[in-house]
Amino acid sequence: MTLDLKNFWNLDERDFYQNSNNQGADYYNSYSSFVKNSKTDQTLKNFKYSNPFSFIPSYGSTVNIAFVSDVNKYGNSYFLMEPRGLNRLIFSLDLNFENRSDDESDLIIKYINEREGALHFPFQTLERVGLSQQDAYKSLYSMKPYMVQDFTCSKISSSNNYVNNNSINLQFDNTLYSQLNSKQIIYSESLPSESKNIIEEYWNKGELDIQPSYSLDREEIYALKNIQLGSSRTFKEKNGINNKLVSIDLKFNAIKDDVLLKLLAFFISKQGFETFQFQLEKPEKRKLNFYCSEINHTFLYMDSHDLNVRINEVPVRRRFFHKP
Amino acid sequence: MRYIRHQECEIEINSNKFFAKRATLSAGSSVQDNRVYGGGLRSYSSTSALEASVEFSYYITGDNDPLIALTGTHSCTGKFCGIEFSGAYLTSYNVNIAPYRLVEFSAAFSIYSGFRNETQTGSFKTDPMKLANGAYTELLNFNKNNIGIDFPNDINYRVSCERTPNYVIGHEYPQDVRLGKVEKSISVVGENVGSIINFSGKDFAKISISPKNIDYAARGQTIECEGMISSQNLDISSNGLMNGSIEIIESAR
Repeated sequence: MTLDLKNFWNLDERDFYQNSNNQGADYYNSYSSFVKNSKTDQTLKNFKYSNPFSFIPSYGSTVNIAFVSDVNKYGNSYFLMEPRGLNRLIFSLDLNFENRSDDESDLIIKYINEREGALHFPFQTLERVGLSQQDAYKSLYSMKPYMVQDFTCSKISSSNNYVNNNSINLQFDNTLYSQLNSKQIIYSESLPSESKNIIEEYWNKGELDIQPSYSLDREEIYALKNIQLGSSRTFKEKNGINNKLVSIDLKFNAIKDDVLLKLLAFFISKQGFETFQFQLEKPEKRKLNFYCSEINHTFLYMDSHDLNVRINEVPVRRRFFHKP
Repeated sequence: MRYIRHQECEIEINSNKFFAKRATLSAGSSVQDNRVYGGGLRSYSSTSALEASVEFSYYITGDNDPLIALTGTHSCTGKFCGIEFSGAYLTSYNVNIAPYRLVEFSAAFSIYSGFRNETQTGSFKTDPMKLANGAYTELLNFNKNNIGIDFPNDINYRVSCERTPNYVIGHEYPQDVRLGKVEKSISVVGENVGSIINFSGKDFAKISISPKNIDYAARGQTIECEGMISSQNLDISSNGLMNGSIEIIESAR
């Protein structure tokens, strides 16, 4: 394989987006045009992938969004999350295909094996062609509400449950999103206005106003200096002025589609860097600044999702000067 | 809503009406409250599909029982007192036979495509004298040499079909329903149990049951079972006689 450094992204063509299939005034005529415009056009044009992955996963599948950062530590428990470049967003799917027939399982495994782990493929369950303009945005989903379709598959595992009954687990990865286009994970201009309004509202909020489910588990570890002289006992001393920072696992259980969208907009917009306020209830009722570095979403059933996020307290609030 | 009498409640599977003795329709959602941090109530929400089933016990009024053909991969439609359902799969089929008693059949279905309409009355009548009776039912190879029991006085035949729905994201009903294990079993209560089995059970010659009515006319297909004796029991109490019972299993799929 030769890496063309001058044309690293090569948006002009993709195996799965053939220009010959996308000709005509009402089509995005090239992959480049599709990538640049499909999320920003109010009226989504036609587009056709060649042989997309169109198998619908089972409930129980999960989505993980992580923001990679370096942590610079300073005295008194001050620290700074330093975004590791622009391309620091890792979007991965842990997909279950439960109780599938031999024929369907064969097709899924064959599709993935042909890509050999490295080839990109689109994950699209609903084609644009045939959808009305009103429903056109649905063709941008891999799984609602995620408008991420370009993946590689790094892992496959399967199980023969019984005669003509198989379960397959696939790990899909996408590292193509960055700080600049992270909003497009869930947003396109062709979305219905209700969805766009939700995303816009929560994209810019500075305080989490959706309460998590019980139980809420806090972890608070004191920052201490441990001093030991020779074979003496360990002497413990308070370390700095921010000697107790809170970490919390927020669980939003069985939330509906609209609440999920609000929370995703809220947490994705922060990108593991920007802080937000969250009020702790009694005991020790207080409002603190937190950041969230990872989001984990499980599809439970229709209009029902679990969302888990780990949030960590920071001593000083941080905001983007400009948020895309 | 007015009261609906037993004879006004029609049970129908694949357009065949059944003379049901008892019937139950049940639907249970997983809806749960969602009490959030701080004490507020966010909403009630479901985390899994509706669990719905129809069960009924019935008497066979014709030569054949159409339900015995539903142990495979095919789904069926039906009605319970006017409430329609589709995407139903047979999960359990039972036949109870005892001397001088009507042969009672029962079936249970899992419903995977929800219900439509509300209750509505109909009527169904039959002549009870033409129903299958334990005293006229023909048993083949039910003897001490084969299964260790003489004079069987209670026979229960069961078929269980494992059904696994395939739910995909964004859909209320399963894409399809996979058929798993199909197991037959017969329990027989009678006199004696023969030689006691060891850890590996005991095989036997094929047994069959042909339910008949008082005119020796068939009421349901001949039931056959060929597997292993998996358990035996003997019990006796004061002022009583020793009773034996055995359990036979057959893996059909």
